[in-house]
Amino acid sequence: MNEANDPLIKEMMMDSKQFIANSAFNNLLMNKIRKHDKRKFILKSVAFYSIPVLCTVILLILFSRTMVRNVDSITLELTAENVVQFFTSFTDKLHLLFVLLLLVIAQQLLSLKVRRGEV
Amino acid sequence: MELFYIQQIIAGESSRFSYFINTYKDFAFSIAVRIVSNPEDAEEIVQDAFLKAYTSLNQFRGKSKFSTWFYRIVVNIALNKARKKLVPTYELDTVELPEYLVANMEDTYRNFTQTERVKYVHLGLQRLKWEDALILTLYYLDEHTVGEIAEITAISPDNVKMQLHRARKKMYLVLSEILKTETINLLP
Repeated sequence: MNEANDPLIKEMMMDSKQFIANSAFNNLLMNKIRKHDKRKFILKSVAFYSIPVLCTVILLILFSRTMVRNVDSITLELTAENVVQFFTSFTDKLHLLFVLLLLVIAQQLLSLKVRRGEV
Repeated sequence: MELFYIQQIIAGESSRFSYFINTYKDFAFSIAVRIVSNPEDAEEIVQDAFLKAYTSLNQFRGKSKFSTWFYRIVVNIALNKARKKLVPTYELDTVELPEYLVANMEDTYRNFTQTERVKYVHLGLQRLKWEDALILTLYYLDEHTVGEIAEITAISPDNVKMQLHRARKKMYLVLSEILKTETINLLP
């Protein structure tokens, strides 16, 4: 008698089948899945929308500060001189640029994780 | 149909996953129990395996059956969990299996009630090495092919064949030992 044709062992293994006794098993699992989906949605939102928005806000702050400092009146003017001024006066904005860089890196990492399905 | 459901789940219809849970939970549980020998741990393993399968569904290429892919996850998680506390099993002598033993066993086994059968089979499986119990379960209970078992257990197909042959023999020997002891205990 070979392995493929052994009705007694087959019968024994059928008798050995085990069943999950916990009636709440499916609900528990589906709750975990929903929780996971929620987390994924939040992370996705952060990765794809929040961080780029935050970066834009920081850039706007940087830009407007330069504008305000370099024009006599309160009105902001987008002149070539002001733009040059903004890009040449990095020293006092270094920390903000650093934050910007960190945010961009964080966004890239999160996007990668979301694309790979790790979150 | 399973591939269609998988595409729907990836597209966001997570409720479709309940089809996979209902279809595979009990067999996944049987696999996990063979490895960890504890129903509570096995249930936790099955939960983790389903969650892992759900989050990795986009990595399922459909080259193998979903069950093969999923049971591989179950085996991996169960092995990780059990690595530190695998139940020690004893190695049986590699004696030949006498044909009369199989014939006697067939009669004796079929005369038992269903409850007794379940009890003795579980006792027998617990005394086998977990690899042997797992291979018997995969081959006879869920009727996987040798190739699929090789994929699930990460053992080469030739080794699966060899192990299957030995596991079947060991199961007969272990059960005959158990039944012999039980018969002696029943004698006045």
